[in-house]
Amino acid sequence: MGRAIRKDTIAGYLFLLPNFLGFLGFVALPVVFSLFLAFSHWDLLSGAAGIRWAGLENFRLLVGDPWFLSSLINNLIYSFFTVAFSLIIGLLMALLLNRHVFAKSALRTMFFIPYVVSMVAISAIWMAILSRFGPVSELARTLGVENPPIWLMDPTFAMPAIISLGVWNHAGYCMLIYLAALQGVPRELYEAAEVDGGGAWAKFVSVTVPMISPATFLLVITQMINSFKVFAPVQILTQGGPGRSTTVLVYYIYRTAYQNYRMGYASAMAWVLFAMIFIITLLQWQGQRRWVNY
Amino acid sequence: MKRSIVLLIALLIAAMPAWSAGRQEAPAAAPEGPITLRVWGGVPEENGPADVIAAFEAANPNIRVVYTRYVNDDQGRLRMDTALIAGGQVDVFFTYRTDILARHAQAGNALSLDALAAADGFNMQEAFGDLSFATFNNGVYAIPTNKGPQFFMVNKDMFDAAGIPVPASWTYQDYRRIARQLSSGSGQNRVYGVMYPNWPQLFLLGAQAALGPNSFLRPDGTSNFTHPLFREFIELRRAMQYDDRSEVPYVEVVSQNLADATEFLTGRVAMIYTGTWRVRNITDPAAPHNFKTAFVPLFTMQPNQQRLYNEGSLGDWAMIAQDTRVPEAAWRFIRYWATEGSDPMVAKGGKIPAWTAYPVERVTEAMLGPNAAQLFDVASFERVVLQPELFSYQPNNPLAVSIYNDVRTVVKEEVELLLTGRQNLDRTVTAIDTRTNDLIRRAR
Repeated sequence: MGRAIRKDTIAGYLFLLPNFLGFLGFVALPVVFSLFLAFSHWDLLSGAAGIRWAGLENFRLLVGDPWFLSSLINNLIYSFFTVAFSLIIGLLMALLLNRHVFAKSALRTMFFIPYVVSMVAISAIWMAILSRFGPVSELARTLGVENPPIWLMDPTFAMPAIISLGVWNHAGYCMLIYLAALQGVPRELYEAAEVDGGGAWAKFVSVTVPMISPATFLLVITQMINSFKVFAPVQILTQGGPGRSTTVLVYYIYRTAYQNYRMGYASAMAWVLFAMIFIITLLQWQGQRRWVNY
Repeated sequence: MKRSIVLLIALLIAAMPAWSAGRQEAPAAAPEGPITLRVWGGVPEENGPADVIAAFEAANPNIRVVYTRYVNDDQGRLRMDTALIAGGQVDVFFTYRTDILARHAQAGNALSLDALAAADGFNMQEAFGDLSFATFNNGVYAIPTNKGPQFFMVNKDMFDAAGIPVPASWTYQDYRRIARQLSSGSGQNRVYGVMYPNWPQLFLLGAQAALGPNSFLRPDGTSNFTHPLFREFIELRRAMQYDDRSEVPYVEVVSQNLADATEFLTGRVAMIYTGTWRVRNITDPAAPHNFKTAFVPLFTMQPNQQRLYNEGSLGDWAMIAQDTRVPEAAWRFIRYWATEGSDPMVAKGGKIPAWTAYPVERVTEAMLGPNAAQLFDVASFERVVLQPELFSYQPNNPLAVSIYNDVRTVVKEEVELLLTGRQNLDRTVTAIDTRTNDLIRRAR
């Protein structure tokens, strides 16, 4: 290695150093620490001296914890429906915008806005929309439903309400990614399909869907990971209720750590959550060979 | 390059014990020269603390006080807790809940105050009354700077119009009847007799108020939720929400995020269950209203109920950090704040000093403001809010404290299923009882 090159290398690493130090201090060490905590009991307030080794006890307790089990199930339901509907609606919006429509860029901005608005503001809006005398209930009354449920306080409808909010929040982002993907589909393919006598549906199924499958794959993975982290709407709108119907993992982890000061148990849950996301992502990575075309 | 990264990590790990070592140091001798006292509290500086501190510094020229305000919520407390356990950054800190006070005292973050008080010739029990909530292993770890009873605030004009005298004490039957009499209208224009905040523990209110601290546990440490009073009170709240329609339904309070102050000031409810913090909404010139507010204590649940325990308690507890280097100065400061220095906290912070010697009329004047006679039934304020000896039912045994948060969540979940018609009263009470026993088993 020449002198100049070595000097450049050192300079390069030095430029990386501040970022790396930040990463080390605020991400890497806490992650390692939380892994250690997952095998300990710690109430935070007694400081480092109060950490007691617990072995696998936290994980054993998890198995019989009704809150953990129902938040796990709720999380799976939330993730599945939020991701599915975000993608479908995002794709429909992208298909609409990909044609020559009136006020295209205005519409695109409108669809995208929910994604950049703060979750707290979104939650406040949805609370008003879904309240007893809000527009959704009024619409239901106009349609002949005499006593529409109080959506956010109904064990059947609270989770669908949180899911709708998640979809509304993320569909715009999916739309944007899909729009880019759609514009990358070569026109010749459509023309060839037309020559072969394919109708609109056949073109969509045989050309569009396979051609944008890399975008779908990207979205499924990122949206799935995102959806497992759902917290703010639950904290603001339902506090996990009514009953346990909207208690999700991150909400339960938060409650365990910062309200009950059980850092070890909360860390154990966080690592289980991580393992789950990791496994799901791995499975998707395996599965992609069958349906993603590059 | 790799080796230097390893070295860096090693250095960081090596530095970690230094971070935790701070707290183990024995308090060293007080340093010479001016002393700096670092105080952490939840009250914004301009709402009293700045004035208390200025007066204290004037009287103690060798002590300088640095006040750090933390927001008294989960995140804010985490910030304060972190500073506290990191060591060497906090001399005096305030906590606002008895369970958090207990956690700090038991975790060894606070100094027992008995020796400091004795050296000062100060009798804490005489000055503040019942300190059982701050007593652990025979030591007192905190002194209260605020008295925070809870009660009903009632719209006296609505009582007058219905020909009902404002009661000085009442049974739950009286309460239910009066709430029904004060309700009228329908749909969005319904005027309700009473409204509660959405706190889960208020579904246990009447029962705990009759039975006292830790009453959801039996003496043998199992759940006591089979006690008939819990069942009776949960049923009372359900029946008033759905049969009498005299209480604003809990599901409405939560789903619309209804604010009791707004509902009360606009005349949509006749009574709200609340505490001292609501008084300032009544005196707020931005919320003009043309009725008088009176104060009524909680009702009794049993015919010969001896005592009415309160959800509120003595509070705003001042504690001294275990590793402070200046315990005497810290003691002098918290004693001053809690006793003769409390005027600014009354005038600007709306606090009621827990100090038994504090003149009552000064609190009335400061809290009710210049228009007290038009806005309030002052006699009922002094009778209900200021005078009573405050007996709190907040849990104070270690098991009860450690599971109380989870018990509240269990109560919330099961009562929500009751109120949304998913399960009946029997199943609700049984589920609360069974799940509480589970929590106890898991806590061991």
